[in-house]
Amino acid sequence: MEFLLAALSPINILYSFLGTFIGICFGIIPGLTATMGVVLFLPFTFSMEAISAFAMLLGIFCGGIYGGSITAILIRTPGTPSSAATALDGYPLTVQGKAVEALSSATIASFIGGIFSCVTLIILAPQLADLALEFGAAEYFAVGLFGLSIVTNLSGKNVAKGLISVCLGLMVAMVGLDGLNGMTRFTFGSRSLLSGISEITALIGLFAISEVFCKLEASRRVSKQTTKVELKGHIVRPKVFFKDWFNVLRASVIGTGIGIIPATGSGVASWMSYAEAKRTSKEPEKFGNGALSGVVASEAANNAVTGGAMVPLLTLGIPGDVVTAVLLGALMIQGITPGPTMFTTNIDVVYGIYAMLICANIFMLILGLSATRLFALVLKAPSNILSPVVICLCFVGSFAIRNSQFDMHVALAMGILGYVFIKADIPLPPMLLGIILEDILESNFRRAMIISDTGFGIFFTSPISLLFLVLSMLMFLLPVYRMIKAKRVGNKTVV
Amino acid sequence: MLKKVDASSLFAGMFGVLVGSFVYYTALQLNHSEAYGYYFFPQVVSAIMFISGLFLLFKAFVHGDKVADSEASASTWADYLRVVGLIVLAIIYLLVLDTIGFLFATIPFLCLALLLFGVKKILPLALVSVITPSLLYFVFNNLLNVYLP
Repeated sequence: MEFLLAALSPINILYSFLGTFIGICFGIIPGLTATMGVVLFLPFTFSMEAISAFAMLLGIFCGGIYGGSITAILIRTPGTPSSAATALDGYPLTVQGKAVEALSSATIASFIGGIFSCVTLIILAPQLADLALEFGAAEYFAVGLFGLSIVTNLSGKNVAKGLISVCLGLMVAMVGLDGLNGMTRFTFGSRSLLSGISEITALIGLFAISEVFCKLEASRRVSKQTTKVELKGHIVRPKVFFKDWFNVLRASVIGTGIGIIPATGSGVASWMSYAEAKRTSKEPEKFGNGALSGVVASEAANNAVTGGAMVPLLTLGIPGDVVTAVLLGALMIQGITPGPTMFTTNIDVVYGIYAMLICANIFMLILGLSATRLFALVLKAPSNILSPVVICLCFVGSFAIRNSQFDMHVALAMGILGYVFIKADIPLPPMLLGIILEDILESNFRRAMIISDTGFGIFFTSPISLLFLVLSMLMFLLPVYRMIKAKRVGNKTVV
Repeated sequence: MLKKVDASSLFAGMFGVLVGSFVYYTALQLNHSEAYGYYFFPQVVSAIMFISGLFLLFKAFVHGDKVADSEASASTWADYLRVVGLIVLAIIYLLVLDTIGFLFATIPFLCLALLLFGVKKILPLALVSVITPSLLYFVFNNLLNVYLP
């Protein structure tokens, strides 16, 4: 406790506030991510004390993940891949004039998810790290496949179209140098394609640019109409929000769990949580049309990843994703070696990190709720002015990811593809899921096959792998079950 | 009388079959010396895509009557032409960006895009198309050290 209190000095709190604010700004701008924010501000922390440095970096990390939800809700432009699921219901809520309610729900859910994962990190870090150590290639593949099985829930009524979409996503992610043997694949002689297609660029194109095209198509019919903004509305009422407490809790558990498993990320957590919320909902048809539960599930899960991702980093010295890899670098710059020894040699830093993570979540809540109406003002701008600005922002954002003009071309191509898919009634979220999960699936499948003596048997001998494979199979068979059930109900009605 | 076809399933089916076949064929050209190597996943994925495409094609013709009548888009050819116009504009913008620089390319691009969206008043047209690129240029170049072309 004394270490926790020692970390809460005014200067650390100020850095935490500043970091959270910067992180939210990064999250709001499409193409600028929490990762980019942490990377860009890392050099500023070299001369700081270890805890002050982490106050700032963790603030950017948490704020960036949360900030992505704001534009996802307001203009259907997810600032980060992890908030893509938020846009599915957040934007329809905005159209219905419930922007403030959606934003405040997302803020509170993010706060609860973040605090839940912090508490989990403090209490269970060593034990959970032991569990993560059990994960090998086969287990990762099974978890990836389970993530992919969500496509059955994201495809609406037509699973075949969802499969085409997810397959295309997987194909897009295969482009470039193969991670295991360094051979090129699907580059067709282009040097620009060697480094592959950035998932953020794809996300910007598929969800933001395609939306601009759709708005332009409809602009003549709704030229005078601006998006309905209920600025007089209230933030979500506690009674309404906490009616969904189990959804928030489940999403927080999913997010923390996914965060602990290295290399999965907040994108997987938010989709998984969203699909679970939809599957168990009494009104699944509302999802995609403005269900507050969808926003809450996605946001609680993606922010719960922040604390979860710190577990393998602090206890094993294994970075779970790019952000935690940068944080690992930040620790080493400060002369601290993450891993089990850190709990004995630098326990003050460990507790400092806990305290700063909690601080970042508190500031996120304060900034989020106090500025909700300010964020919603974005919508006061007429859609016909906002849309061209959004497409400009998308191009600049695509460029900023890797300083590559080629990425701007990819974003446009993805935007055209997204627009065509919308017109052909092919769901876009499965494609994004494919892009996110391809690496986890393929690299771990191939690693498992290399180390396996029993061929495919490796996937069935590990209990964790077997469990996730069975769950995946059940998820894939769910549409068949639904179809049979629907036919039976239809037959009974006819009789 | 000819049976009506579900156009969206027909398109998705054809897309699945064509892209699936192409990727499968391209994956066949990859080096097959390693068991379950970098050719294996593309083959599996493209096969799934091909089968899904075939299923949709079958569905498009068999169930076409049930959905074709309900599909009616409110958009006209003029609406689609404006979208094509913006796409062409964006392609030209990206092509000239490197040559004439971010500011000089973005200002006319944004101005023309605003016109396509029906903004005709001079003041918002001029203000938005000048202020937005200038602000973006300042923030990215000076504050974020991301040097725009």
